[in-house]
Amino acid sequence: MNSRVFTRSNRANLIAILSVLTFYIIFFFYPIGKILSVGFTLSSFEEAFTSVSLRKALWFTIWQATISSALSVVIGLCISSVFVKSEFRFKRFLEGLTFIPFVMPTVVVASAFISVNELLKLDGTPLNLQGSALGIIVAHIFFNTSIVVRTLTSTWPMIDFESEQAAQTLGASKLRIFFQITLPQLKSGLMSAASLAFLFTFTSFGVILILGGLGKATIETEIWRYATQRTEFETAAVLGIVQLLVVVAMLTINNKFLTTDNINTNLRSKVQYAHSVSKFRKLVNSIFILGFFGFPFLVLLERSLSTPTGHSFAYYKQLLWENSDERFAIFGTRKAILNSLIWGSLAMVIATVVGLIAAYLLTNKSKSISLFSGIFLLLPLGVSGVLLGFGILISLNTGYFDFRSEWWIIPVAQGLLGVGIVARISSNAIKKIDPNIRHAASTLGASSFLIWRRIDCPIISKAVIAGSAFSFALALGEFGATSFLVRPQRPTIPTTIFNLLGRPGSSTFGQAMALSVILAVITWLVVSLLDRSGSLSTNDF
Amino acid sequence: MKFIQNLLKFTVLTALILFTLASCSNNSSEVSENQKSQSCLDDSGLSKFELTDQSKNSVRGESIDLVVYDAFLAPEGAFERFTDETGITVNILTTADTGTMVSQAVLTSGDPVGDVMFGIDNTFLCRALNNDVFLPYMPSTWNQLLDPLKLDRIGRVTPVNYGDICINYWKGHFEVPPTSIADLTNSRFSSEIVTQNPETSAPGMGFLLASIATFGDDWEDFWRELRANDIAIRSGWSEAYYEDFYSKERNIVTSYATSPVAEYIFADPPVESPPTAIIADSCFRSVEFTGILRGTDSPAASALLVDFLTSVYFQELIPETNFVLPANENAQLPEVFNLFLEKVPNAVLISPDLIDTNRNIWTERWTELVLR
Repeated sequence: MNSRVFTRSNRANLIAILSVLTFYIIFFFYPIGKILSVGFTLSSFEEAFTSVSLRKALWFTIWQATISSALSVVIGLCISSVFVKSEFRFKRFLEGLTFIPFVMPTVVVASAFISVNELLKLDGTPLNLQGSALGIIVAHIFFNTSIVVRTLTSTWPMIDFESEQAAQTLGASKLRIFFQITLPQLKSGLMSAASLAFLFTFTSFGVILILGGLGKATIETEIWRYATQRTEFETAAVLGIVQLLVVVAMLTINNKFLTTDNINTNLRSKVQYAHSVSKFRKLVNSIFILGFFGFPFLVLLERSLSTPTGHSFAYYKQLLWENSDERFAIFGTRKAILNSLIWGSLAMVIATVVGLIAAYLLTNKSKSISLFSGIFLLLPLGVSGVLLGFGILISLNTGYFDFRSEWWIIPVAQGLLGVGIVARISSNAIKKIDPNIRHAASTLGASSFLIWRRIDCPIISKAVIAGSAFSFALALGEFGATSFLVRPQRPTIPTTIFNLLGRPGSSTFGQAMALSVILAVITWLVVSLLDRSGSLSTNDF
Repeated sequence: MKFIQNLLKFTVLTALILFTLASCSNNSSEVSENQKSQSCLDDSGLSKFELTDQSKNSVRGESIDLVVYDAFLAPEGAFERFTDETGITVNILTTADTGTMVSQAVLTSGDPVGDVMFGIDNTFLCRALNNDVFLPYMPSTWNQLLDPLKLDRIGRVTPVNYGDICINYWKGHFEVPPTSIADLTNSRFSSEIVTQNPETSAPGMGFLLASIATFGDDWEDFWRELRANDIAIRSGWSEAYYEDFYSKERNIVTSYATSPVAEYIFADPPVESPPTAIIADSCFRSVEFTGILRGTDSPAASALLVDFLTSVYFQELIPETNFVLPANENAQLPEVFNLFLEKVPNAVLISPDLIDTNRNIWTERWTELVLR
């Protein structure tokens, strides 16, 4: 019986590896290899390493990414513990709120930060957010805490809470229970979240450019500057290789922590935690979320409603109903909303399908498979979007692979960025499945598909959906490489915001703000819907 | 399990081989600048494309791609009319900012992503010309185009529009507004000016070039004084204009000569006249060009599109969508432009050669003077 299970899993593994690898080779390894090879000479390396400004950029990139991601993890951990351990009114609303920063166009978030700076008169004080490392770090925490919260709230309910209760009965203190029982069980979730946050802050682009100015350069902004503004691909490629090496090193270290998780399948929907969350902590948590995540959004909302003649919905009307008004017809807003939804959904489907297959590679019993896939699956998030975009332009242009300017290359590139996220988040849940249940089912004659449908599917669905929601949000926000590809001129929400912000006039600015609010609301709606379907299917079981 | 591990080793190996293969097929020769010593405006010896009557008729049914920068918006119905007239379908391919668009074109020189490019400007022109990005072609409209804009005399690129980058200010804010670029260092305008980083923004670059043209070797002193006068630097036009200028924290901004007209058109509620004005002596003239991308499969259809883009019909449509001025002297400006556009008689026009040679030197010097 055992041998039958193994051959089946062998074949399934083979297909999984081949399909994921083919996808990655065509859309990632080949393009990025080709563009990096442009700068592959020893002299260009020497030049880059002896340049003081580039060394400075490398150092700044590493330390700001480390601090930003560490703080995001700590804050995310505090927030998730409240969400996981307690039920309260507006919990769903607050959970949704922590997600919104992730999809907001950087220009819009940065502008909200700049206005917070002006409102609180921080300019000139040590807390100044504009042009300072502090501003960059705060903005990074703002963007990345959501991914930590998402990852943890999807895996935390599965940990073994009975040991917590036992420890409590035996008189262990709250802190001791947290550090000795809870935290070790959360390790793989925390590491996944930390690695994602590190990748996002390491390759962050818009935040650095707008809040930091070029006074605060990172590897990513220097790659952008050399590749796009100076047309010096050699230097850009050398920087790209350095960036890739740091990312691979970081992911390897990170992976060392991933393999030692306890297996435990906690399928009860109502969990009794050792210590319930105090009213005070709930309050502080809610106030922090509303203040930190809600405030920039409120600034945005206020701006979208304020017209020279007082507050009104004038800009929303112009966007949605008076679109045919001659003045604004050029922006095509309604089409943009539709296009964004279609492209975002396509990217989400691609990311979910490939990511789910990849998640099984991450949890493979063979150490080398899980280690290797742990690194290569996340690489697309760790390389420069400029270089990946340019790489696709010079590689996917011959013979059967002539599709660099096809419309679908955009959702594929967006999906590629989501694969790693879906895989990482889902694999945390897959690891928690007790293999004995699968073996028992197999012994009783269930087919692999039935085992997957009845055992894996309900357990991992919440995590998979958390990952899918992220890939949808990534695609909606037009992130990374997609800005550096050539695409058919079809308006999407971010491009329309960009075009509105690029033309002077009180109403174009107001409409850009209103459209940003609409983007936030759409994201919040879609994510809540996905969440609801996720929790429904878990309860079914 | 052994099998899986072997398979894994195999795939790692394959990936490595592919990576190396990609490295070997390195065609960096296409990227290198091969004519550095000469002027980029010299004839590089590419043979001209001639449009014959026969080829004009054979292009019906073809479909071509027009590559544009991200801020370009197509006038409603314009390209449908082109299709009706010629039978050629036009797909618009968007890239990112002009610098990115040009870099992409250099990278794919000879094997372009599209057929025609719209919107490369005089600050980036030489990069493209040095790398033989364009196929020379003299459009039938050549004689109608403004002569000073024809920077490339052999038609690798054709001027398609121009716009002036000028200092803008709120009319209501100053009793005595600034009237010249030299006024900006006056302490009356201390903490009033916001501009953009020339490395990340086209208007920022334009203002730096205007200052260099105005003050010559003394341009560095001008910027030292501006810094002493507490000038603010932002990375892009939107941040400078909509954060600092719109909040009236700062009342002088680097923008375009056409910005006051847009302020009038997009005002809500409508206004009698633009609330902003320009200083007409400090403007840098930005010229945008169109050209056939060398390596296109459809040179004849592309040539017809270049004719169309520079035709009076299309030229009259672009001011109101893209807030730039027509290069075709027969094109009439829309009524609002006649009413509210301030004329800029002596805009600075710097040779693209000079810009290309000195761009990095100037911006590095500027960064040291203003940001460090």
